[in-house]
Amino acid sequence: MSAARPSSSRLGWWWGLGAVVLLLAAVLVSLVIGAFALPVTGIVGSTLNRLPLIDVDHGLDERGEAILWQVRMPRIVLGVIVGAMLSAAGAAYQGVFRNPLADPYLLGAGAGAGLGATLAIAYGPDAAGWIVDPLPLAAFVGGIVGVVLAYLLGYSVRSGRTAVTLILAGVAVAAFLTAAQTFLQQRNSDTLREVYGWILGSLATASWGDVRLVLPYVVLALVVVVLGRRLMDVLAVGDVEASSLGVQPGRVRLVLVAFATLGTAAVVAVTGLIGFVGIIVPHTVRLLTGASYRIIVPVSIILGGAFLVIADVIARTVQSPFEVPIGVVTAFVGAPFFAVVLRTSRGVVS
Amino acid sequence: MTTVTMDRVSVTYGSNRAVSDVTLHVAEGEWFALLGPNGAGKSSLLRTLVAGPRTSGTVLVDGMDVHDSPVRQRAHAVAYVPQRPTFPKGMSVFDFVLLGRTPHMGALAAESRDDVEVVWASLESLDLTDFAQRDVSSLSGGETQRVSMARVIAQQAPVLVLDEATAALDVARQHQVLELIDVVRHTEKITVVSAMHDLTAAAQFCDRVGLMYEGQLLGMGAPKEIMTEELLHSIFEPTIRVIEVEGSQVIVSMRDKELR
Repeated sequence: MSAARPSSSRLGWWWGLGAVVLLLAAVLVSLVIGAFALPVTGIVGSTLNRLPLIDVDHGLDERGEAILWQVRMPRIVLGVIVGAMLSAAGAAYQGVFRNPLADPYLLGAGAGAGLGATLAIAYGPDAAGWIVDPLPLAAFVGGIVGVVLAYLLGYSVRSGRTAVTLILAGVAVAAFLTAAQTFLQQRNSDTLREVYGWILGSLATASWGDVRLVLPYVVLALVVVVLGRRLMDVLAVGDVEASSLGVQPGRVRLVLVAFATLGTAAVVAVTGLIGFVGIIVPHTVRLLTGASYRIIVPVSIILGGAFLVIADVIARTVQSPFEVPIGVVTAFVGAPFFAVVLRTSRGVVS
Repeated sequence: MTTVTMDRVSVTYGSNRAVSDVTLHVAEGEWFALLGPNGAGKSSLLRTLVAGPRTSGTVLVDGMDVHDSPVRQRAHAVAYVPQRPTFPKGMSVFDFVLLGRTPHMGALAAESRDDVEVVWASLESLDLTDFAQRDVSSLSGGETQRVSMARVIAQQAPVLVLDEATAALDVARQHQVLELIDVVRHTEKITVVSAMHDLTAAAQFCDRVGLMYEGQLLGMGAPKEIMTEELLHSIFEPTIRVIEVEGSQVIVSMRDKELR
């Protein structure tokens, strides 16, 4: 009986499969395209050679190998990680706040990270003298502090610790931190360009070190968000009904926000504030697949990775040899695409 | 056997006392309805059954103190349908009914094959299988009530708390839904505690009713004993008349003759 009448989450497998195909295609295209063109056979062969017991002649010279493994691959892997994380965090925020306009920076993670990065760039010690680079550390701490402040403010409101109270607290905290960041930025105009560049976000300096740095946080955050996806469906019926179904809404919100923020702060720390991914990807997936987070979360993670890789290809090729800030591309490509999806969808907006 | 016990329950919002010292018992399998005008405290009292705010007193379901129990354990015992249930836009009927299985799943687990089969069985019992993939927010009033009941059945809790669940429906639909609740409570052996506005319907469907006024429970008993003109006049208007039709009370409010 259950074969003929599946759980609707099985329909999600098809969306998931489609997203995986798109991701693989995006990665391959991104590996091939660039100032130094790499042949597909060379990429595939060189990748196979890295597996044990395989030795094929791939035809890439030393320079090709270096570009593939030291430049393009870490950048693409980081792009997949960052896109996946921002999309998962966006989905989590949209789910726990029952608000399709929520994004990972809603509670002040973005503004806090921006302030931290500005402080590090304007006043921080020279990175060369430090064991760890102060910039990502300051951005990471700033992002976490922003959300913690929003939570403390939201919880101190006597009339109720609802999702709306928390959003308003986040808006207040983010506005305050952004004001502080802008003030500092204007006072230190010599670093303005660097700060501005950081805020727009970029994958240009990606290295395997960055990947290693963010991976533990991102894996942890993704595992929690994926496991909690069904609870977001429960939250969709409101706090009172969710509680009658055996779920503690406040606790679920806290846990999901905490881990989504942890992952977001980690990726923001190394790539800057890449915008629009966290709101557009889960939203697009919702418009395509329906409102269940059991499907939205995993599909958003895969599609988010693909989207950011595609955006990065455009960012580094359209004005080559110069790079367009990836945040500009995500919005410039994402917005029209989103408009099309919005117009042709079944109208599942909230 | 008693399933629901409320002992000297009071609910206070700021300085406003919504429920005052209510003590009541509901027996297993019974349909008990709270009646009374708007603002009498019916909803506040009902919500204490799902651990809603309570200032003093104890609320027991099957001997379990609902305010002192883990939220999942409570959800195993009590299902709740509020005055206006939320039907999230874009959620399929299947997914909505699956929410009823939440207390039966691990906190971070996905639905099991068992959960899926229970959902299909609930949908089937209410003739909703063709609706499974429909958007739950696009259904008509009567259909959403059936979907709500399907979720209640899937939750498999022995006690159902219904807060004015039929208020938004026309007379015929309301009757259908009440019949449906009655069928479900017999087939699933569920105890129903509800708040109702329609006194005539309460007289026909409920085993016992309780009259609430200004936070107090004025009387409790079989509809025939409680729904007398004398008692109803004390809490509603003196224009209320109780007529008997086919052995059941029909309660109507007549227009004042002098005003006609």
